[in-house]
Amino acid sequence: MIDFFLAYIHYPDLFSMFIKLFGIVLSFLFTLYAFVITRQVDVLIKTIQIHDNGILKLASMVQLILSLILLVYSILIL
Amino acid sequence: MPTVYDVNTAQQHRVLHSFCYRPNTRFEEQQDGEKVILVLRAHPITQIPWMLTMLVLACIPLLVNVAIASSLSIVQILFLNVFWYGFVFAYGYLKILDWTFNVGIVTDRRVLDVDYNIIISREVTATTMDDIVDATSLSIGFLPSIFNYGHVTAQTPGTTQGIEFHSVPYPSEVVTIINRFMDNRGRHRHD
Repeated sequence: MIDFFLAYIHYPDLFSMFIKLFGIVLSFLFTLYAFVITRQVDVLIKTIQIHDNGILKLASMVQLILSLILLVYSILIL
Repeated sequence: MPTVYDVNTAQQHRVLHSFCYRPNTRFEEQQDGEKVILVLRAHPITQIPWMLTMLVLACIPLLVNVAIASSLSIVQILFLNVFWYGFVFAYGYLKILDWTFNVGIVTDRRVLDVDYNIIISREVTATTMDDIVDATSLSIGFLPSIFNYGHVTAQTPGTTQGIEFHSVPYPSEVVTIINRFMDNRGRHRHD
């Protein structure tokens, strides 16, 4: 298990490994936040009717997609 | 000539939807037959500080990239930049949500103050026109005087919590509208 983990992270230095872990944690938290906001916007739009033509919902989806891209990027590429 | 807001006045959305008269809108706590007369938000000029903050935050990578270019790889710098701009976007989006959903509502029966803290809480304070004893507006300062915005307070008797709308446009017009409905309700009570 440890060998597998070490093979996965195959980084030349500790600093790069730190950046990767840092990136994964931050991206995960950002994804969590974006997901909560997306759900919350759905609730808010139902509570008060605003005629925004779905712009707020679209923005929340853009944020969620961006956070997922960052998460994938940090796991696979960083 | 100031606009007169009475029964004959048509639907109006002024100051970037921060002063909506007779808007075609509904809210969760709305009662049957209750008509929305006013929907109020903070004056857009009060949103400028966070926009400037966003602008400054957006410029930070331009300086930081030069400093970190030698110590980080392109892949890492790209990640940091995209993450940073995602963070700036999230900050601005949260502020827009805050402005959009923190509203003051005046209906033909009640006055409501809806306060959202997007992630944590939601508070709706409401009082009926019958319970309001006084409506006052307060506009202090340089910007409020120029852009005509201020606080509106609907006071209720005793220890009951009053309603306060912060930094809304045309505060005196808002008070006039509330007073008109207070008078109407009072007249109905006496008839």
